Amino acid sequence: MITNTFGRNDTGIAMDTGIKTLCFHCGDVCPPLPPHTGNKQFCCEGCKAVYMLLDENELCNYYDLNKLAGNSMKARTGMAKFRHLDDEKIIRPLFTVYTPNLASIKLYIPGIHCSSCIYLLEHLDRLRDGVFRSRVNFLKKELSVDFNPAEISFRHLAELLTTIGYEPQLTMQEAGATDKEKSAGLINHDLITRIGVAGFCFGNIMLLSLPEYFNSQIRNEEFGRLFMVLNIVLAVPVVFYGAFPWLRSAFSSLRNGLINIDVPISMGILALFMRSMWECYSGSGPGWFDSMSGLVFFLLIGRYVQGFAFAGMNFRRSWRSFFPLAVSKIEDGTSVSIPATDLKTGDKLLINNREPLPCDCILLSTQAKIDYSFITGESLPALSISGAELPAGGIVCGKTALVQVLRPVNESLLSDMWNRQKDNEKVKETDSSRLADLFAKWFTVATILLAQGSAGYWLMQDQAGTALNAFTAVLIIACPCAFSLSLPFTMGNALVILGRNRIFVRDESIIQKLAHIDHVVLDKTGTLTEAEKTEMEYIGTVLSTHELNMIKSTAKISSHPLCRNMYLHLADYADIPEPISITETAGAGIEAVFNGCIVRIGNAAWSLAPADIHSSGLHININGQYTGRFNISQNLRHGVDSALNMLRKHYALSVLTGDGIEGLGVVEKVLPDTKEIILKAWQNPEMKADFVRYCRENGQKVLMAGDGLNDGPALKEAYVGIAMQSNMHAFTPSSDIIADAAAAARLPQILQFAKGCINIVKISFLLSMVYNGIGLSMAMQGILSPVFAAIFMPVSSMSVVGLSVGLSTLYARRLKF
Amino acid sequence: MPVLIILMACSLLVAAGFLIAFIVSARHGQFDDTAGPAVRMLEDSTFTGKHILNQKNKAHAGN
Repeated sequence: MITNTFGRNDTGIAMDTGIKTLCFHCGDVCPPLPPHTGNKQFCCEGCKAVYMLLDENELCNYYDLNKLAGNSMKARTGMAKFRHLDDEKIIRPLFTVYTPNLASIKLYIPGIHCSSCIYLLEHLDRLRDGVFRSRVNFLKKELSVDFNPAEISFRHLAELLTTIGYEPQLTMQEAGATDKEKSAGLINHDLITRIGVAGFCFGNIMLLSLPEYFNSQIRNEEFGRLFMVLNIVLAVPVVFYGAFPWLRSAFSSLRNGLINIDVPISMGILALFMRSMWECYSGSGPGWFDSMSGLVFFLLIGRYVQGFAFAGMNFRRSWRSFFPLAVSKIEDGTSVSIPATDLKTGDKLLINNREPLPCDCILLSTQAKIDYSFITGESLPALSISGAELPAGGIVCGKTALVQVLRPVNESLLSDMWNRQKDNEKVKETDSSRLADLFAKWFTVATILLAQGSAGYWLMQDQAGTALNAFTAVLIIACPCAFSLSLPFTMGNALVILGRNRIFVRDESIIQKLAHIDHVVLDKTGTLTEAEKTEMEYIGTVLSTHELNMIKSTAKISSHPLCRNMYLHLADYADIPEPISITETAGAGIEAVFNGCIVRIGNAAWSLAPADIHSSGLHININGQYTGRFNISQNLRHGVDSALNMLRKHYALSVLTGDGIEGLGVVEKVLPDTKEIILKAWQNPEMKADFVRYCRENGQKVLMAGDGLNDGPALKEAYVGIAMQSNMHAFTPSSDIIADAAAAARLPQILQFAKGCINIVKISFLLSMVYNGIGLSMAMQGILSPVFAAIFMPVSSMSVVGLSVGLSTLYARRLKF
Repeated sequence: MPVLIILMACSLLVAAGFLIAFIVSARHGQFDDTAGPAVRMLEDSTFTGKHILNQKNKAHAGN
């Protein structure tokens, strides 16, 4: 097995490797003879360079704050992509301030993950002159930097960040962001202000109401009157500012002929306010301002907990975030940087190694290797020759390609695919039946009936005063505040618990949807198996060590990914002098001539395999003699086998793959039988989406788990879509949940946890109904006193919140989250 | 007892002052990042200025 892909980012198993040395910087396993300085060893030169830089600038506190804090430097791409950043026209839209001597910018840096990151990024000024100030927003993974462009150009700043492992994300998305998107988060300021105001009023009203609790005659005295007036003054902002979100939501839903959970809440708040005003005016009582402000305050806190989201996770990506800020256009023989959105049909572009094609193009170079793994799921780069049509989204591998624009960015096939998905989104949103709104409907009706009933009863007894009391008291006490608190607190807690396990859920409604899932559809490649961790197995006549040495040396030269895999597989064999000559025929194989020996590696035909062998894999031919082949098999991720067996017990299960039918063998192996399990091979993105749609139209609630853009359409089509990636901060398609790839093994637990959370909400709801029952029986008799309500309502709310948070935490612990 | 009224006015004024301070700080985004400040206070200042010497040495070497 190839073990060099162990990473802290994958499963945290790097620590379990025992005798292996771990990179001092990033925690990856070091190669046999690691680069080192002093007694510190590193997995690669990149990591060592970072350490040296930090050491030189006395920033090694970075390693004291968190062990193995660094981001691995192995997979870094070149700095060439930053060449466009010298062009002021292109970068200008990214800045909030840009003057010759001061520039301010906010950069999204996906690599920010711990306190060491904050420490290092906030000491950028020590690494380079010209940086005035740098500040990290940890939740948003955002770095704001003020710097002097005269001393350090933006390009140099981006390169510096990349050198230390914090590559900023600079794509079309960032450039196109409007000012509104840039200042997103103002809504949050609003909520916090409301909490502050409501809390202030609540506290003061409680204090001013206190004398009344001990002496009910005090309101007729001088102070009592003053207290009452102050209470009214303080209560007005609570209702019309603090509770405004509920009043607005209730009003707009009523106008649309619907009843949501905010309607009974608003009814309760307004009944409290009106009745209190009436009591103050008529002098019949002190009012219920204390209960009311407490209620609004707790509701606001609940909303704050509910709104806790993962700002650093981008759940609604558009294709724009896949493309670079600018591309190199050839104009009069020189290359200029222009924004990709400005491209016109006929423009000629230079696309460097590892850069994506921004739009549909025609290849002008003689040949180019294009990696379409992101679009189609096909893992091997395709070779295209001059004149071929290249759809957008492919990544150029190897040599720079010269292409001509066929269709501008907005009309390219990729953006087309994305826009089509958007239409489906609306359909999806409306069929989500939210627990709370369902409940709200009959609850509101029941409350109004009860209130009228009790008022009617007292009217028949000719007690109009009691009738009015009972009517408002029922509305007040029935206000489903406990329920509307238990939902956000349970779900908010669940979001935090899942987030700690690197499963990031978009919002609380997704957890409710998870509980309704009855069909689980899984993508195989990259989700159940590890795309980057393949196993090789040799089938054929036994090879001598010398022959294996030669195969290894040949594989080293080839740029083909399978050959690179084989090279790693043969890492234990010796490096021998390079072959005398090499011929590589694209799409077939490679031939290397050693001292008196010819080695051919390639497909079956290339290596002259017997006619009955035409399987995939790397076929070996030595001196014209076919010896055998290296078979490539993928391994299931750790724990996926038992997860699959658990899932099939409770859910309909399907496994889709873009690979051939033999790719499903690895799944069939771990299942006792494949009855009732749908296994589908040769699925392209459209077919996957069609399959999910077909299931949905048959009334099934589908959970789709996949990775990469090739599953994007299916993820959108599904009731709940989970994007699973080993590097979560890489580009993920739009989805409801973004999870670490290791979460594939925990799918059964995730689904069970979601169901448990719904049950917990139901239990808290029952408890709140008991409280409501007690309160209602008193309210209908007209004996509910404001003092009792002021104590009873907060206590009932708090106990319901405590119950829901406590139970969900306990349940998570039982499921080992 | 009239002193109570003065006391109450004072207490409300003080509390309102804090409320205004809170609103201003919230509007300036002081509550945007609830995770960062907790981490920042763990930082020790171990800075001795050695790196400036290093840079000077390098500059000399360059000359």
